[in-house]
Amino acid sequence: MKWFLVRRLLQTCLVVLGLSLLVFMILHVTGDPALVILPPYARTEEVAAFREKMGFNDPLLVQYARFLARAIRGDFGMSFHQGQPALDLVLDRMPATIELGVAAMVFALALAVPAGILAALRKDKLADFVGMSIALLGQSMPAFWLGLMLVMLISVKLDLLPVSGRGGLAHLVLPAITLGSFTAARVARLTRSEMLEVLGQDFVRTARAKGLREGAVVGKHAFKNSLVPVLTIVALEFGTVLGGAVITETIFAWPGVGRLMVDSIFERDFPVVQAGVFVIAVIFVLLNLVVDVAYAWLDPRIRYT
Amino acid sequence: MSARAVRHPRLVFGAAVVAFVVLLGLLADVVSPQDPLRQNLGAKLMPPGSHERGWGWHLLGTDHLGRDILSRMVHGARVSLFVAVIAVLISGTIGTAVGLLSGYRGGRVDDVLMRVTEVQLACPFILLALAVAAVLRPNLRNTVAVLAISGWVIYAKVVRSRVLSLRESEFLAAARALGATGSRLVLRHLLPNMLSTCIVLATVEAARMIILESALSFLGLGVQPPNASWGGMLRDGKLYISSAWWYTTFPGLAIMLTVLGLNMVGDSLRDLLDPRLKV
Amino acid sequence: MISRRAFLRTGVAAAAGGSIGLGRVPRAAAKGELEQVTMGGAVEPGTMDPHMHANRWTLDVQNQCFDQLIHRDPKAKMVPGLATAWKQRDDRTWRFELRRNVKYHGGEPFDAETVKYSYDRIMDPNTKSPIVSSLRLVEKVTVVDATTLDITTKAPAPVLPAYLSLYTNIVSKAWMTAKGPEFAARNMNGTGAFKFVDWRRGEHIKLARNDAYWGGRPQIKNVTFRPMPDPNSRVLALQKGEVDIIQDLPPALADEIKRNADLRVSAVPSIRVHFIVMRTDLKPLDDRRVRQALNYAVNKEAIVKQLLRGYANPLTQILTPAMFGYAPDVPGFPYNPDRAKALLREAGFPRGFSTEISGPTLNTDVIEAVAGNLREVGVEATIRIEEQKVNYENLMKRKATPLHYLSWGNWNLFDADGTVPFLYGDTQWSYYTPPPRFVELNKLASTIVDGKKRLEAYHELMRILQEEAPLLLLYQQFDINAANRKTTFETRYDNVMLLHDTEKS
Repeated sequence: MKWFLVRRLLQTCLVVLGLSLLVFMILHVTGDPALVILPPYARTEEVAAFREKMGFNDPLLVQYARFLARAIRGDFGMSFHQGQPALDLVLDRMPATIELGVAAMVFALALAVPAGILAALRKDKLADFVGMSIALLGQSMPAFWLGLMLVMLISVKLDLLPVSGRGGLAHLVLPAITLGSFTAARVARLTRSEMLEVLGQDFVRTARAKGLREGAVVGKHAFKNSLVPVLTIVALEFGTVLGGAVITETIFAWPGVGRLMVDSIFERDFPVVQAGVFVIAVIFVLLNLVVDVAYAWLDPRIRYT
Repeated sequence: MSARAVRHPRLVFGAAVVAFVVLLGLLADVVSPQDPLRQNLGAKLMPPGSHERGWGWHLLGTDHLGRDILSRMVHGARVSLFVAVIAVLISGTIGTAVGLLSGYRGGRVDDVLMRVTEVQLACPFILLALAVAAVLRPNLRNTVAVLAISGWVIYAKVVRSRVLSLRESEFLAAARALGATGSRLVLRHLLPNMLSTCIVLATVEAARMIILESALSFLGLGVQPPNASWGGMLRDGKLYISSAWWYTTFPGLAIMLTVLGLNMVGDSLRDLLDPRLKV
Repeated sequence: MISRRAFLRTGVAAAAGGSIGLGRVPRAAAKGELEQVTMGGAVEPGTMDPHMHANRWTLDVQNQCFDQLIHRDPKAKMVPGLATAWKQRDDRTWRFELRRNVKYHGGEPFDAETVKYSYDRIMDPNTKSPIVSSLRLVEKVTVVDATTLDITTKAPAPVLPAYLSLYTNIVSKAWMTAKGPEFAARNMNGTGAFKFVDWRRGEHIKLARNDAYWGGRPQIKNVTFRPMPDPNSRVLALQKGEVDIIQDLPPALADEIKRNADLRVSAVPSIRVHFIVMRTDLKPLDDRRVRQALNYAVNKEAIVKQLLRGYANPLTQILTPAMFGYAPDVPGFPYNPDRAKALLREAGFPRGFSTEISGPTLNTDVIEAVAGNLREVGVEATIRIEEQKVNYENLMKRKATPLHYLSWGNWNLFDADGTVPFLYGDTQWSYYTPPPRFVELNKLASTIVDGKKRLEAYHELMRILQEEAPLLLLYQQFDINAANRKTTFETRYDNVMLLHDTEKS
């Protein structure tokens, strides 16, 4: 086990390194940050002088090496637009991001997993139909539409919750529902599918034949085994939600990392993008590690070579 | 097979819906009541069932440039469906292949492939799309490519997790005992077990891609104006969400209906293909 | 006091000279105070350091706390700021008399030294200030005494005061040198009407009244600025009452606000103009008849009335009425498709031609409307929509499509000098080679002091442009903000959301 972890850690360094180079190259393809920082009324020679001063004219590999030398020490440089250390700007947003991400996942799982299980147990009956209809809604409604509808109805018309911003629990409800609805749909459908597979297996029929209560059949055997793919999705969704909740964050003015990343990408604020990608990469790596370990616990058949 | 099909109303219904949408897309030029590109600023945002003097009826209303929404939806079907289906097929195939390889071989192969997924996941989609838009021409092929790239990881990871579960199971051991090895094992025995999961994933992904295409056109990829796509209409209608409800509602319903059809087909295929499920 | 009615003029205003400037004059005791005003903003400021950004939106927060030497009143007339008087002493020297007894929020006194420090800081290449272009005319700044400053320009510059009226905020030398730029990027210490209290990134910026403000104590005690990037969401927040003022509405949502009797829209013609750059170096756009034809072909009036719901004015020229140099007698190109077709025939294109038009996502609908109009006279324009910065960069790096959409208005000089020099020459975005007379006139207009002669020069320039038609003129947008009835807030001509004069309604 220890060897496994060490190996993962080393590989993580490679991942982060490779990612930083990839992102660096891609960023430079997207455009010239000098043209974004400087106003439209800057003359050509002023833009040229600015580029020179900021080091944008140096060969790409030189610029990358400069960046890497500092990044290794935890310094991702100063944001072009905000005049603050890039990594600080990203980490500053993490609490809000995690808060929203966790809330969305809690909502999604609390809704989807029971719905999926029930739909599988009562296949082709009402519960199945209702559950999968709701999943259909979550799947095909765009986030902005759901978010705005919720605000218009619950916030403005019924005056029950705030329109936007971060605050207490009340501020969390609508954004969490908006962000979590697609995940809920995905998890519900997958849970149903996996449960159906497991329910059809021999050992389940044996347990049923033996007269075991439905609860025991479902709870102990079927559920745990069907969890493996579901857990994969949940981890994936959680990571995605942490880094990519930009639509929800925009509609609800939520101060999360997703919006920071998108704004920085559009503003060509390279240091912030690099810092953000680094943090998100670390999160994904950790999530995958946890998930891989959890696989072995959930399903005793799983072993790693 | 056809006898069995009749016993599956869900499959028939779902397939009918999908076929209907596909036909609509293919025959758009014939079926569409009006020219989807014709503008009339004076007839902007007319409600469904309005009549435009000197032109005709707008069954589903008009958009902010006075274009007929029904006609745009008919033409948009082609784009949205094409993009979704092709992108899903490509990403699904690549992802499943990677997942099978990664899960079955394990060891170094698994490590490398999973690290690649982590790189892919951490790289923001918007960044990738923007880079592609800055460098390449905005055509359908590049759009599909970007969507496919954004989507393969989920198949890879889910398939891998299932392969890990099944790798040591009895039926596989039995097949091995009978002499099956390597790729034959994977293709004949593992893959069919993955199909149901992949199909369910794919139906959810299809919906996501239809909507994601509209984000791409914001960045300069995707369908170029003035051509229509359902996702694009959703996005354009956002400003009018309170004042002209039909602008977002009808494309939204179209997406929902298509996804319903795909879901039904997917679920039914799942039932039919699952070797262990007794119907 | 100016009545509310006077503020509510939203039509095209006469040149600024005719209006009564409110400025920032000390006033009598307030009649009703407001405890708290909350604003829903479109864009969150990136930095609080006034010299380290060129972002128009950031001024909405920053200019509450900082002052410039010269201010603009709500109708964009130049009025005294931290400078009480200014005069051109000779060809290349402007003398500024500075306001006495002004203190920074931190307590230190304002004087000529801090002005020199601020300007030198902007001009210093080591600062890497994005607004260095604002002081491009300046050669050096000299302190004469504590309240007198001389600015020497590189060439005669009658427009210097205009340059000093927007981005060039004055900071405290002692504070900046002690705290450093990183601290200054998150805090503000200025001479302005409000003091900085707190900034939680992504959530809010809080300001509190500066009771000792030289322009008179504001009536609002606390201001909170909340970034709300989504326009639909901003409107909903205003409707619910979570904010009192919201910024930057698209025309479609402005009409929504109007339906609510408790809310009001405040829209004013903007400095920002929209047009299409034509690649006059390519055939057939090198022929002025073709260019004029395209101008006649576009139904600007319908675009303004329908698409933009009246929140715009069709352009007759590249300048707006609020700018010095605007020529009221230039006719522009009223919609006339027959004239367009005739001109095209004359130029040798009876059946039109094919071309390409590109632009940013934000203006897709206008571009689609324009392409539709062009198609009606036989010009088939393929549309290419790109992300805003990519599209802008293509234009600036000389890779523009034959027709390339651009909106211009970042720099509110309210003077033709902020626009005309960019139409030709080494500027990135124009492909146009003007006749020698044009170049001559422009040089003249930017350096002669005589206001009347300047105006004549610009009028002649506009007439030349009418003939040459290097640009496809579209419209002047309106700046649209909205508010509830708690305050007297109205949109200013420079669209900076200043609240120092805003009162309880």
